[in-house]
Amino acid sequence: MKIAVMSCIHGNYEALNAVLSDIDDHKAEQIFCLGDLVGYGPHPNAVVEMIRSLDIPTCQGCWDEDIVEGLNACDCSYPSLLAESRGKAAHAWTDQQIHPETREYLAQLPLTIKEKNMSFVHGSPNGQHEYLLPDVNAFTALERVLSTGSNVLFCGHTHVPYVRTLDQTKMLVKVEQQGQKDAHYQFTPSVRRIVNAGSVGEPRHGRPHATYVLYDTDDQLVTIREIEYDYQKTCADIIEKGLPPIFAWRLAQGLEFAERADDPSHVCER
Amino acid sequence: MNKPSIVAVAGAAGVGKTTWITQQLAGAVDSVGYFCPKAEATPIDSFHLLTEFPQLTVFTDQQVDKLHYSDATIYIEIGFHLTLATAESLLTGLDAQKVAIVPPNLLNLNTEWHQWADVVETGQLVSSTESKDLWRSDLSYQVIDPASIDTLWAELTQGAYGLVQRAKGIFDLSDGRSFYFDFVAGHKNRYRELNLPLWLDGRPSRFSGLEIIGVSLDRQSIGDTLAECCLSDEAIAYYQSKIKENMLEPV
Repeated sequence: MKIAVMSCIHGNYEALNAVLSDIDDHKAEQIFCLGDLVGYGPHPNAVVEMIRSLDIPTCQGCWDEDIVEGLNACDCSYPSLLAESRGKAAHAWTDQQIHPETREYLAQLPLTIKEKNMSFVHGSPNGQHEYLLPDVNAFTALERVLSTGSNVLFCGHTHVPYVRTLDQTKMLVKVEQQGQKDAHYQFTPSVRRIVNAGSVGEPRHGRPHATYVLYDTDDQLVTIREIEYDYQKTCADIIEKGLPPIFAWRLAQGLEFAERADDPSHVCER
Repeated sequence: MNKPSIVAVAGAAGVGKTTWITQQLAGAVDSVGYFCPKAEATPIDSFHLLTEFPQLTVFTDQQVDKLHYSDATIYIEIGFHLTLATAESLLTGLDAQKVAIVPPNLLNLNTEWHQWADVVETGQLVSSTESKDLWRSDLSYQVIDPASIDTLWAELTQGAYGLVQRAKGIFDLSDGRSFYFDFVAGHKNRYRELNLPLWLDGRPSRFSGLEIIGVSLDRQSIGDTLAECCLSDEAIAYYQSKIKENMLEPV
């Protein structure tokens, strides 16, 4: 069975339409979405409406949570004063634009979706705000996958797609108990994978194109798709709707709007 | 032949006037001076040169008369914002040797620089020698968030706020250090920590500032974004206290 996994649409309706069209062309039987439907982009309500109308199973992203709960930033959200200022401007704009039914929909999204031997999360199984970067240390990577009980963990949040295969791994665990000898255990887990879907609406890979992944559950083949779309239309809408014009410039460069994971060892404190 | 006591240096923005003067200062054995007319609002070059050559005498617009009587060899940098005709009037009465720095592609032509100069030196390639917009900001007393200025600098030099031909800045950062940023279109960014003591006591009273030369500059956005890179009093006090604590910890 072929599935499509997408993430981080960020109110970019043009990009979402292009990705859905490509998914259709590839005849994926099921679509999963890893959240961040809103934030930074100019069409938060239209994006949510589209996801709802197609009944796509969707996890709650960090932006979706922030729009429901209000900003509650850990240091990891904003790498700079400038990023913080821009992130807050985007949050205020989105918060003002969002329809009540959109907010209700975002509020009821699950943090994790499980399907057979696959788990779907926005950031990590620890929460929507934690980044699983491609170079996070192997122990952390493996621990995060094992914690789901699945063989394949699909995540987003970094906005850069990647596939990481965790094979030939061993875990050594020492258990210290008072009055007893330390116990040592060794595990050799089977192959696990982390698949990051990148971002539909706010790429950080240096080009403005949308990314998502196709996954074949029969042969475990992962295909990272990079889709061109009319990003200039999204840029024009960003300006027309009164969002900071620098967002349009950054989108056209394939740069993140404001947030960026710059410390792979950081464990989110939210 | 006697060494000229006054050397006027002109050339397009980014061609390497200050670099050429720096080379002369580095080789100087006698006392030396520097004067950049009409640049006192943001004296980036003179401040930068002073950090490298503390013995340098810097002249201001109000001290022009003293140029006549100085024993030092004085380099007068004619900024791009001054026309050669203005430069000529500034040099009236001064027995100055005129040096033009021209990019390699213009070296064998007969440009206005060639006609003006006594000596022509080769500088670096610049994308355009035509006059452009100038944007300047004095940032003294401001402390800048390093990650924010990195972002702003990347946006500036990649065209987010207009076509930037030349940008140079001196920034006091939250860790107490002062940095020089230097960009010429078509060349790599250069960054250098200035040889200055850490500033850890409130807002720095020493000079910092930014100068941008380009076309169709979005002045409002540049100013607004720069303001968002500046730390509040509370943040400055927090960072400075943390750095002092770390400095007191035994290694």
